[in-house]
Amino acid sequence: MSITTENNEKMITLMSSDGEEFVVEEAVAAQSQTIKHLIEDGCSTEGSIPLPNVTGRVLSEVIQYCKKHSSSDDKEEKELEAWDAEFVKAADDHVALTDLMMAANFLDIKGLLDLVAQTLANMITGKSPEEVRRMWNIKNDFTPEEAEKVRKENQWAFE
Amino acid sequence: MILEEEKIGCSGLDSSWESYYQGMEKAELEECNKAVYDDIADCLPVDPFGSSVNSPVAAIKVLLRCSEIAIEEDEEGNFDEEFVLGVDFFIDGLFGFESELGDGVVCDEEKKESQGVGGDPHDALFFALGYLGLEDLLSMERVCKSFRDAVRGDALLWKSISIDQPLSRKLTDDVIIKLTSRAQGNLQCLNLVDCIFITEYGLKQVLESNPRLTKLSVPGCIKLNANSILSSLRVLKSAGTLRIKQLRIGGLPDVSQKEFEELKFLLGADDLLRTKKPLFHREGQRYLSEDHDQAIDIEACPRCQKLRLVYDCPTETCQDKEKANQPCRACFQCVHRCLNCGRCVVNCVYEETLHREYMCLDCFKQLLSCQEKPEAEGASSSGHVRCEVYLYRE
Repeated sequence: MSITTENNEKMITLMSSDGEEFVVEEAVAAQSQTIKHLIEDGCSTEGSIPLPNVTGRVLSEVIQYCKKHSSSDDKEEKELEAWDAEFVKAADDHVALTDLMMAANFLDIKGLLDLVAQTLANMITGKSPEEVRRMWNIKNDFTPEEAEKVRKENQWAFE
Repeated sequence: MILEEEKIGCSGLDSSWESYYQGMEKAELEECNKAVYDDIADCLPVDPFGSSVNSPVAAIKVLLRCSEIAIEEDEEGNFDEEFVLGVDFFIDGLFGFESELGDGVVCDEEKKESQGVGGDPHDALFFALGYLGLEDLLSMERVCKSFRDAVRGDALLWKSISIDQPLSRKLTDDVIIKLTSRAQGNLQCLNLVDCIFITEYGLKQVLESNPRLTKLSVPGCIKLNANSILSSLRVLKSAGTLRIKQLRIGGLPDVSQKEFEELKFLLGADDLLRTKKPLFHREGQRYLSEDHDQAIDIEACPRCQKLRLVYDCPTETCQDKEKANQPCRACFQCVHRCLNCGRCVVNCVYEETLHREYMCLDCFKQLLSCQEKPEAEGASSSGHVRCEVYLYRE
């Protein structure tokens, strides 16, 4: 459903996978290339846009990001950077970040994708394979022979 | 709380535990003796929790459970099972043993960890690979199969390869040939800083199998020289696959005017006037980076006319003048510069380090104050080391 506000700003309704509805300005929603294309294809004229891969909790964070980034112009770059840092800090547990990452990918929001991927990369940087496994609960599925092979191939860097 | 509990019930197991007893309150000792008689085995119920007491650690844990029952029992006679498990966990950690009580929740989790049970990596993590440096990428290969395959199989991750210290000192021809081959011919940018083992052979192999390369940077790769680079470029040129537009060869052995002219010709770069960013002789900024857009990093030093990196001066007094006339604009041999801030030490007080490097008085003072009161400055231990590195760099 598209509603128009007093400032003539077109509003879009987004629906999360768990049925939560968010009414946002079109300019905010269009930060997502996926939604932008849906709007262009006329999907937003009837009812709300369903986003089956994104839960309400994650979507509200994504919208928070999009709002901030659609209202700031280039002059406030420094302030925006600081805001971004705070934003990922607030989502700084593994589950929230991975959810945010997948949402940014599905919704195709370049800035958010870069931001979260860089945050994840920073968390990995300097960690040993064991630490990474423990941190993200990843199974070591190498056979001893395979592990030895990889180790040998990269030995030059770690000896 | 936990430590107290741990003391209780330790006596009688081993004489070495007696030291734990010293300093215990009398009441505690009495409490303890309720549970501990002459022989531990006598005081134990017949394995009330289904555990087999066949090690000192297990014995301690069972004793703890006994004393817990005595202490923590409430009016209805219940006791806090979670707390006991917590103590179990603590003891396991203390002794570094796998728990021998197979039925504890904590124990199961520990076993999972040691046997590598877990899941496949979350899809989100694969997005982070593109933001990792070489060392971390290589480390990720060892995490699990899917990361190994992703890192090795994704040519995009290897489109731009940058190797700096400390890895650069370990990099050999074989390794760089293998690494660059992962780009599957899509290598566009190769940056090798101070790779002292890379030879003409390695470079030639890399250049010939990566015809899409547009930026080549080999500053400080002392086994290479202008001639070896020229011969590689000539081969590419004659094959019609020379796409390199940016070359960084600062810190290589002296380049002759003739070689310089040919390099310019091969790169198709006639206008080499420095237009954009100045270059300062600073830590981590000694070589011209990608941000500088000129085709070749070296130029004729205004003083000695040798073809080298020519540094600018960051001080305002030197910058005020027209750039071309900046009196201290020169190569590192003609004008000494502070190794920290990069300013010329021509008209200022400076310190000379053991390795004939220079530091202006301002930076030196900063260094001293940083060394004197690392805590007061809020500097971490790494900050402290960094300060020392400035003075005693190899």
